[in-house]
Amino acid sequence: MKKCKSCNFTYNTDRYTCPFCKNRLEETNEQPLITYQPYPKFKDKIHKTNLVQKIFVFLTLIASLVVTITNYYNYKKGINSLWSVITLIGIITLWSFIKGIIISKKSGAKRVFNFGLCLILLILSIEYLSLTKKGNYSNWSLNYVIPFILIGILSAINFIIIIRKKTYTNNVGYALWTPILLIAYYLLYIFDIVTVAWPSISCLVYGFSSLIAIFFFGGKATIQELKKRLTL
Amino acid sequence: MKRKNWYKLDNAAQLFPMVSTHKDTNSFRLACVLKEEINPSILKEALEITLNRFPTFCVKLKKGYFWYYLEKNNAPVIIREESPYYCESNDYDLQNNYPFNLSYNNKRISIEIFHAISDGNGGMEFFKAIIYNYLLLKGLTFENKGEVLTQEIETLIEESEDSFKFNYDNKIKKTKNEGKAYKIKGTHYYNKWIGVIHAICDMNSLKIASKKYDATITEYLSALFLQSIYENYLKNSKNKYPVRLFIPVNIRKYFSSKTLRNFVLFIRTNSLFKDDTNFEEIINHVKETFKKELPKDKMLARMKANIKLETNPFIRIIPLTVKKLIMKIGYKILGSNANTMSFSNLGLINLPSGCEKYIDRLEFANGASKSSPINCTAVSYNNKAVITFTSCIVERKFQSFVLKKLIDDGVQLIIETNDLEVEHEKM
Repeated sequence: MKKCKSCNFTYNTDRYTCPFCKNRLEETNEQPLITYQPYPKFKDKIHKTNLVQKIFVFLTLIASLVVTITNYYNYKKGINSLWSVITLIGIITLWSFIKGIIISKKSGAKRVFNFGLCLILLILSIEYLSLTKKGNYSNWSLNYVIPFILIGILSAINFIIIIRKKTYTNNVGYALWTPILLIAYYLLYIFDIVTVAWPSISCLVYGFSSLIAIFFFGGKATIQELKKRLTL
Repeated sequence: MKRKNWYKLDNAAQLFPMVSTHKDTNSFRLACVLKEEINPSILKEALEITLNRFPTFCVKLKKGYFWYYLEKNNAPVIIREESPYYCESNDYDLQNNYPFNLSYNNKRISIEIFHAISDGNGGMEFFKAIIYNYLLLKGLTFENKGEVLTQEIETLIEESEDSFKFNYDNKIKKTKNEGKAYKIKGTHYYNKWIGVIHAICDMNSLKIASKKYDATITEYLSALFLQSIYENYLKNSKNKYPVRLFIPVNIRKYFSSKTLRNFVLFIRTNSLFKDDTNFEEIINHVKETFKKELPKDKMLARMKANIKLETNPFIRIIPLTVKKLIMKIGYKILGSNANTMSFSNLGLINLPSGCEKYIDRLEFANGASKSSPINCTAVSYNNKAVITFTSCIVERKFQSFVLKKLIDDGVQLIIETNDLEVEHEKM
């Protein structure tokens, strides 16, 4: 045991100085009345840096900057195309694929869903921002490509649900919302935004079937999961 | 008995997942210093046995669309060596998503518990059971007269209830919001380090000291803390904000609740000091505050304020992402800004007779953050009251004053600290 004569405090410590007045502590002959259990010493936190990721982020930033500046000057010269936006969305989609699908440890359905959304955005930007006359769009992305991307996303999510039953509760949210998205896509056909019927109808049918299947096969687990997430 | 596999967060707990950050984790630490070295494999087994008895701790935090909720956690438990950082992390991925962190270091067992699953009293019941099961697994025997909730004592439904909702009285008027409080300033430690000072007091001498002023231990210590703030920070200053000491109150005894989840409200002292305020005036003010604020109807009024927020239909239908933002702002204005410091006293802890031969003491600590840079806690066991000061600022004049006053009042105490000589950041 140690004592500070200045403060009149008794310490159970391996310090040499009083933490209050900073004077030297003196050893006493008293037996310790309490078990001495020191704390671990201060350790600086080690922040692990992923050098490969840092290099990719750096290259992405430089590429984005170059692409944006080049597009800006082209635009000023009369080339009326926002192609840099397509490139930037493409870079984000690539990141989403590498980090979200390949590296990430998050729920499989979430990764697929996020990547699918990035892909949809990329397809839309390719059609509407590429070098075409204004107003002269064939709507190929909305009519054909995007419905099948949505069907692809839902199929992947359903596949994950089937093969990884243990993570059902983590993935079921996406398995419920994605069919609703597919069913809602049919509204674009009703409002004449989409002009070709059969891809939208495929979306509608596939979305409905998936939704029914989730409740039919998922049963109580699905209903309980909905109850937990929608609790007000 | 069929167990629920999910729980809504109780009323007090709803806030914590929304406002906790890496700098203010809203967790607390309980520790037990034994008289011999800890065996980690036995400790892990004790935790597994205890989790079977305490389903409200065997959970993981999940996001719903409108609120957070707790779901049964089937993952294996992880225990690790004690980190030097206090209440450092809310990164529960590292603990297989369990919202607590059990660790050991030589003779100390520590547990840091996220406030979303329980308060100090509920957490202490869980921790006592871990220690008790650990000692049993070491081959020791004791006679448990109900001091510890073990496997033999059935898990009551009431242990998982949200007692706020059960005891809420709509007829009582809710309390008004209090304004901004005085904030202690200081030089912050580097890298969110928290300095810890324990004053291990002889319980009898502490009781005698508080009896001198005809006060309870909580009242006596509260007055000491207020006096220390006044003497060290406010004397001869032009401060216009009141000093508010935030004191959690365990309201289980008011409503005969058995819940192991959060069931705690609070009182706040509201002190505006005059020149030459003395200790007697402060302690009388504290005793008056306790007398005025502790009655059941006052507690019900505070409860109503909290419940009204959760049951407001407009608040309920806001998506969780937006709700988090609103709660963070609201908490800063009405919560953390309204407190100068907190003082939480768990009181006397009972363990089965015979345990005191193997347990030296119990410890209890809160974290510290920019909005409340010094916090105080107390817990007693086996004639030892451990008062803990946790601080994220380097300056120690507050603690020094309190400890000197305790000694002057005849309290016998021994001081232990963690590593206080850590680099600091210039503010």
